[in-house]
Amino acid sequence: MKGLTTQRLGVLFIAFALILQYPLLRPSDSTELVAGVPRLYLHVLLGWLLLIGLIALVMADKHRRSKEQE
Amino acid sequence: MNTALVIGASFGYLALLFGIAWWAEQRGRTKRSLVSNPWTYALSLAVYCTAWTYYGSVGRASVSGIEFAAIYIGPSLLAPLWYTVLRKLIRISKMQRISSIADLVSARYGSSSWLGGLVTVFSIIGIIPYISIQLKAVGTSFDLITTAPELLRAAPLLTDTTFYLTLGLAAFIILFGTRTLDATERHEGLVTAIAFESVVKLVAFLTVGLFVTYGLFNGFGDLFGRATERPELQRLFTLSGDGGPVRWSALILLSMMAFLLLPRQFQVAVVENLNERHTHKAMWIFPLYLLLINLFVLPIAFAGRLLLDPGVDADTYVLSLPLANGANGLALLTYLGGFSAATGMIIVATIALSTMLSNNLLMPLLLSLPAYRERGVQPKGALLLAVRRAGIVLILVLAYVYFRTVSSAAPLVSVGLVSFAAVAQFAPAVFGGIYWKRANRHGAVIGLVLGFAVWAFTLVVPGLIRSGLISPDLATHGLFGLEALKPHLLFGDLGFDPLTHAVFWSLLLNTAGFVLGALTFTQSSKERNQAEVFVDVFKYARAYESSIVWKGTAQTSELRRLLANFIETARAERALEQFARRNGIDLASDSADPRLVTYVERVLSGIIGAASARIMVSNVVKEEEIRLEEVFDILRGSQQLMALNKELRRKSEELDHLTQELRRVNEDLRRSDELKDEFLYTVTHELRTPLTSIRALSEILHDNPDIDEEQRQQFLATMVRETERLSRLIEQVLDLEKLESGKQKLNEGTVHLPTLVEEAVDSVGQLLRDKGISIQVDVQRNMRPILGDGDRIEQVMINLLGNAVKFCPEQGGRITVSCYYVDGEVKVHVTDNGPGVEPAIRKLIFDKFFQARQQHQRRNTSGSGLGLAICRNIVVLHGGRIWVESNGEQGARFSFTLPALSPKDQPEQA
Amino acid sequence: MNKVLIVDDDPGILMSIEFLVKKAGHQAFIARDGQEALAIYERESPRVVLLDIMMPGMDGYEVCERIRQHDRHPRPYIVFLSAKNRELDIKKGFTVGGDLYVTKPFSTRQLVDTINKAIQQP
Repeated sequence: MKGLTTQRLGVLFIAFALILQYPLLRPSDSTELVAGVPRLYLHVLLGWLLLIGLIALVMADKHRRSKEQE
Repeated sequence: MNTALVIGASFGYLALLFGIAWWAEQRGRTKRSLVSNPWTYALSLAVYCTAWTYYGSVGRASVSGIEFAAIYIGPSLLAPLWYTVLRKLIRISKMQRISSIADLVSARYGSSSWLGGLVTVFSIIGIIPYISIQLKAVGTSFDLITTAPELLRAAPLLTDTTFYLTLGLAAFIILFGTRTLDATERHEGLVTAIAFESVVKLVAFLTVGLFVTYGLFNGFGDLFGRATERPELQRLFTLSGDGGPVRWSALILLSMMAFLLLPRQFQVAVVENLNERHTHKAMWIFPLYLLLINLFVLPIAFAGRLLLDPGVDADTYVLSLPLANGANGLALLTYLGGFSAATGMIIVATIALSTMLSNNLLMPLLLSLPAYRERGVQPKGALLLAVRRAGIVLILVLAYVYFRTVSSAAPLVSVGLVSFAAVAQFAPAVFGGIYWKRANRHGAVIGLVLGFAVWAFTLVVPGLIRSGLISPDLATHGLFGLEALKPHLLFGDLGFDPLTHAVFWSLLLNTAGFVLGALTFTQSSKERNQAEVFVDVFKYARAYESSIVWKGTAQTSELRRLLANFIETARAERALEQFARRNGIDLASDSADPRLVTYVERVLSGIIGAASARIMVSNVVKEEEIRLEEVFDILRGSQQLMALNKELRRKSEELDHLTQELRRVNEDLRRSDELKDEFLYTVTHELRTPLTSIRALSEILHDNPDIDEEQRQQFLATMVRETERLSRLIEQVLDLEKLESGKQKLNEGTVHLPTLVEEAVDSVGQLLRDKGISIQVDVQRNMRPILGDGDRIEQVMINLLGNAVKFCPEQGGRITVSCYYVDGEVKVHVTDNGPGVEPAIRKLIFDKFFQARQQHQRRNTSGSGLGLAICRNIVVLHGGRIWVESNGEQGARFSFTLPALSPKDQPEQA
Repeated sequence: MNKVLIVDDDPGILMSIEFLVKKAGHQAFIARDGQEALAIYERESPRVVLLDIMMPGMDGYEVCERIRQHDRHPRPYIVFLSAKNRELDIKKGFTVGGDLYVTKPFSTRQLVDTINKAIQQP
């Protein structure tokens, strides 16, 4: 049985591997500007940022839980 | 800009690096290490960002838009998997003292010197161009900033700044990279310097980015808006360029692998890792760093396309933009940022490669020379250091030569990607090795060779054709004139761009060879063992040290001598002793314990690499090949041994516990012996008092026949009373003894307490009337009976009543008796309005002879000091409790409970 | 007439010793506990003190110590009369200043002899 953290991180990997590649990237793959920035760039940037945030959350939670166990 | 200033700044910066590294090493010795925190770890990982990132990304972005970002998305996407993959690599490397990626592969496949050498050679071939483009980037930026384009490139060696830079770096690397022989030891100064460089390049790049976006334009909106007006730029907003979505995904995959497999990344991420936990935080810090350093790549690229002359090399936009706008200070900062990106990579890559070169290629070669093999000469540590230093110089010289000669007009990114594709070839051997037990040496060699052949043919040969070193015939007609063997379209056109095409075929054939080889050939016993340990590292981490996977004979003195070649004797001795103590091995015995042999090999691995260590150790021991089943048995055995150990520890704890219990019982016995003595003493003392009266009075009566009648009567009455007291005391002592020793059996029957209580009250009726004490009896009718000895319970009642009478005041004495059923128990209270019982002695008064010992009250002829003790014994024998409550001066309330019969136990009542 | 103080908490014992002391021609004083004994001692300065040890409140050892603190002249002769017969108890009796230690039960004739001898002590 793999730990909760391993599973959460695994899900993150799979989810963002999908979010940041074709075909999910396709709808954003246009010359359109959103808030003055090309839509594709925004998609990649926000996805990337979200990934980082979620990793930080998962690890903070793991840290908190292992603290609690002590 | 002033050339002297730029040269000064460059070497000043290099000197600063020396200073930082030196300071960190000094500090590391005295204070808390600077390196031991997740931030430094994450920043050192950022050595991933080289001049390629710094200058090349912009160049690439200016022609293909966001595609460059895939190289950074890959490692970011991989970050969540560090928790499983990177941690496993770290764990294995720590346990096996692995010092490089070549060492890892070699160790996994049975310390194969063949494989280690292969990986080393491929790494060097793959990485040298990568190092050379760093030198190129520094050279180009130097030329650019000193406004002497193309001038120095053609300059003779001695006036080339890049040459001196190379020398400076060599000095730095030798100084801080080869401090100790043990390649698995951390280079604190070096890592600190690398982390510092990561900060410098990030700050510099962000500064340029802000300058371009907000200085030259009015923010992102303005910049992208202006780009929209130019269709050839607007095209870059999408992925529809060159390879499109497929190349995007291929680059992500490639960079993921490169992040772990590049020798320099393996060096900082695994070898230099101080604490597995640092990966936890670095897991998001590092991707964040990547995001930040890439934030302004696109703006700068578009700005360059919009503002600069089309003739300007896009790889230099970062520097050209500030220069073109006269921001000289910023240009110098930018130059230094690029300088730091380049030097960071060169330093770490060179160390990693030189360690591989010495430990996995040169040392094994050296050791196979007849001088070492046949004459039993053993190489010394100094030789190893010399080899490693020579390796550093060799690699830098090769890179410099490549830069001066071959390094063509090829853009930074392309060269870098070719290197990525080269190290990606290690993926099957490495990842297969840590997750698949069947993976073996043959498969790894076949896969690597196939992968590299395809890599060289599809990615290197076209470059050689372009530079005219190979006839272009090959490109048009294919190898041996076969259409299918054209370098850029090997096995036909799949619609991929050349890089994706090459990566696809090389990795496919590599993996296929690896898998088929593993399924076709069998493993050696050593390999089998390593496979077991690598794949199940989290399981075996502890069993490993004690497992013996080696059979043969060796002499302890030989092993000692072997170790002493590389470690100073005292330290070697200490390490051996520690290991021996930990594992219960006798060092004095000259035939070495197999575990010791394994240990020595492992220590040597850390210094000279797995393969060399294997050769050296096998030179001094006579080895027998172990059968596969034996390896299994041994590993299983050590696992069982661990389980057994655990069991043993548990047993020994139990024994400890028992011993303590025994000691406690013994102590109790001794105490109860003392108590018995004390009891006897008290009993005799109590007997002596009435005896004294009786004896004295009878002697008086005997000696004085003329005593007057009244006095005679008084004396005789006293004698009778004292005699009664004496016999009562004796009875009670015997009674108590019977109760306490358990000899007294209760004469059990159904007892109806209310009746019993009333009978007891009746029996003391006369005494109450004599003393003028009023009594109130309050019993609950028809309650459940109890099972018990009626006489005994009555004895308790009478005793308590007697006590109450004794303590009632002379005038207005009042006693209340109540008896009721509550919660499965029958409760009886006997309350008086006497002086009460002090809290301190409420428990003690139930001890035998408490009265005699305490003497708190005037001696009373009827008190033996045993009554309450007997009461307690009786109540406890019935499974009840007895206690006293007292409310200050308000008298005492003695209570006891007895368990009532539950309805089902209750016999039919007549 | 010589004064003898009898200190004991057992009425039977008190009764017998009082009879013996009077019979021997001395003046008997009776105390049932330590406090009472000290009060009578203070008032009467008896020549001999017959002292029980196990008494409610202040025990015989303490009574003896306090009497010795007074330093009267002539020095009273203190005889412990106790059922405590362990060597430790006896030793303690002498340590606190007792002159003689008689264990209960005692011979009445010997006790009378003891009292008489004590009175003749300088």
